[in-house]
Amino acid sequence: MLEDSNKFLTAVEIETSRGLLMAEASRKTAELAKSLSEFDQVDFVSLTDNPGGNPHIRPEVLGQDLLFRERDVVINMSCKDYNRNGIESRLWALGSQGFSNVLALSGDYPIGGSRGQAQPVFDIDSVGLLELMRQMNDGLPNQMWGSVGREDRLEKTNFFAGCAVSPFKKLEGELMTQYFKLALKVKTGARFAITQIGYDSRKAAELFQYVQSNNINVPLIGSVFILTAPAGRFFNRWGVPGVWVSDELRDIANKQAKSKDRGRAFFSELAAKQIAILRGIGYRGAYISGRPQLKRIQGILELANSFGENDWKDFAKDINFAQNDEFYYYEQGENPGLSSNVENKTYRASKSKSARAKARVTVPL
Amino acid sequence: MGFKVGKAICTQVDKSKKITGIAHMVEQTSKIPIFRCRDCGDCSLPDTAYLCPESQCVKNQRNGPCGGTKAGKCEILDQECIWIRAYDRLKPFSNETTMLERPVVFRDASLKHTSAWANRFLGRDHHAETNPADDSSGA
Repeated sequence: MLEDSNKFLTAVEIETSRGLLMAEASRKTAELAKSLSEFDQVDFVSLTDNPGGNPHIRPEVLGQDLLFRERDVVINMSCKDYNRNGIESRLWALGSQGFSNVLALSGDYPIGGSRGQAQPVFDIDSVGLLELMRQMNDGLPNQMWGSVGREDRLEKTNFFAGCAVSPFKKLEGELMTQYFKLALKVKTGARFAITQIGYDSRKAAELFQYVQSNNINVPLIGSVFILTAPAGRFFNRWGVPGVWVSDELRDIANKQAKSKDRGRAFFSELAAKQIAILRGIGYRGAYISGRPQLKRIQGILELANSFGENDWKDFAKDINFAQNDEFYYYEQGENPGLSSNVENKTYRASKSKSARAKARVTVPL
Repeated sequence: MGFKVGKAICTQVDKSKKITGIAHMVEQTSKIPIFRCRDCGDCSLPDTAYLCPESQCVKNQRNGPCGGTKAGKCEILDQECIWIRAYDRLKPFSNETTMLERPVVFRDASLKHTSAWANRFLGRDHHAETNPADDSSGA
C-alpha cells in the first residue's frame, strides 16, 4: 500500500493481551480488530509483540482473522524473547500463514514473567532481524545438515520489513546515533519507518528533513499516542523506555482530566492535530496507539480531516514539548514549531578542525 | 604490516592447544580489567569505540543504540548508553558519522570462550566479513 499510492495512511496499533484468545481480554481485543477491519479509513493494523516486555499472546493469532478479511496487518517482531533460530522459525511460520509486513524491533527489556523475571535473549538486534529477512527474501543459503550443496537455497520469502526510529532524544550523541542507525536499517532492507511516541513537532519535522537531505529513501509514519492523564504521568517518569512527556504536557493533561469528560475531547483534538501536523510535514501516515476504540478513532480522523489546509502550521507551534536543553540537528524554522534545513550552528562549530583538536585533549573515557 | 605480524603469530600459536590456552589467558588478563570483557570471542570493541556491548549493554546491541534511552541513560542500568559514549569518543577524531557505515554485525556464539585476538587475525570473527584483509589493529 505504501508503494502503490501516495495516500496518507492511517494505522492503528492493537495491543495484544495475556491469556487465551477466547478469554475476555483477548476477546475484546479481537472484537476491536474485527471492527477496525470493517472501517475503511484504517489502512493497516499493527499488532504488538509482548509489549513492554510482558508475555502476551502472539500477534499472529489475532492477525489471522484480519488476514482472512483481506486487511493489511503489520506484525511486530522483537528480538528479546528468541534467538536467531527461534526468530527464523517464527518468520517461516509468518510467511507460511500469509503475513508479509513485519516491523523489526530490538524490543523492550523483559520486566515480567511467570515466577520471576524472564531471561532476555537479544541474540540479534533489530538490524540483524532486518538482515535476516533480507536474506530470506533473497533465498536463505541452506547450510544446515541435509543441504545439497553450496548453491542450495531455501524458498524465497516476501517480507515487507519496517523499522522504528526515535528522533525524540535529548543529547547530540543520543540523537545522531538514532539517525545513523536509521540509515543502516534502511540500507539493510527497511522499507518504512515508524517513529517513537513523542510530542515535539519540531523534532518530527527535523526527522523528515534529515531523511530528505541525506537520501535515506524511506517513507515515514509518525506515532500518535492518544494521551490520557495517567499515561502522561507514566511517560513523564519514563515508564515506557524512550517515551517522554514533559512536565508541562503532564500538567496540561492533569488539568484537562479534571474536566467533565475527563479530558477526552481535548486528548482527541490533540491527536487529530498531531495527525494534521504529520500530514502537513510530509509524513506518509499516522500510527495511532493508546488502546482506542473504533468510535474514538472515527472521531479523531473526522476532526483531523476537518481542519483547514494550513492549520497544521499553527498546531505545530503549540505541540512542542521538548526535553530541557534538547539537541536539534537543524536550526529552528521560520515557524518556531518546525525545523529549518540549516544545520545547527553550534553543532557545525563543534565539527571544525580546531574544535575537534581541542576535544581530543578531553576525550571522555 | 601489523595485521600480517599478528596473523603470523596467531597462526603459530593456533597450532598448539596448550599455547593457545596460555595466550587466551594473557588476553583475558588484560581485557577483563580494561574492558570488562565477557570472553565472547567475537569482539566488537573496535565497532563501539572500545566499549564492550556484552558487559555494558543489557541488550548487547552491536548495530547501534536501541530506542530506550532516557535522556542519554540506559533504560535499565544507571549509566550512560555505550553508543552515546562511543559517539563522544569518536567525534574528536572525525569518526562519528561513519560509525555505523559497515556490514551488519552478528555475534557467532560458537566463538565463546575462545581467543578474540586469534579469531580476529585468523578471520574467524565478524570482522572477516567487514574487511577480509584489514590491517587495522584488533581488539
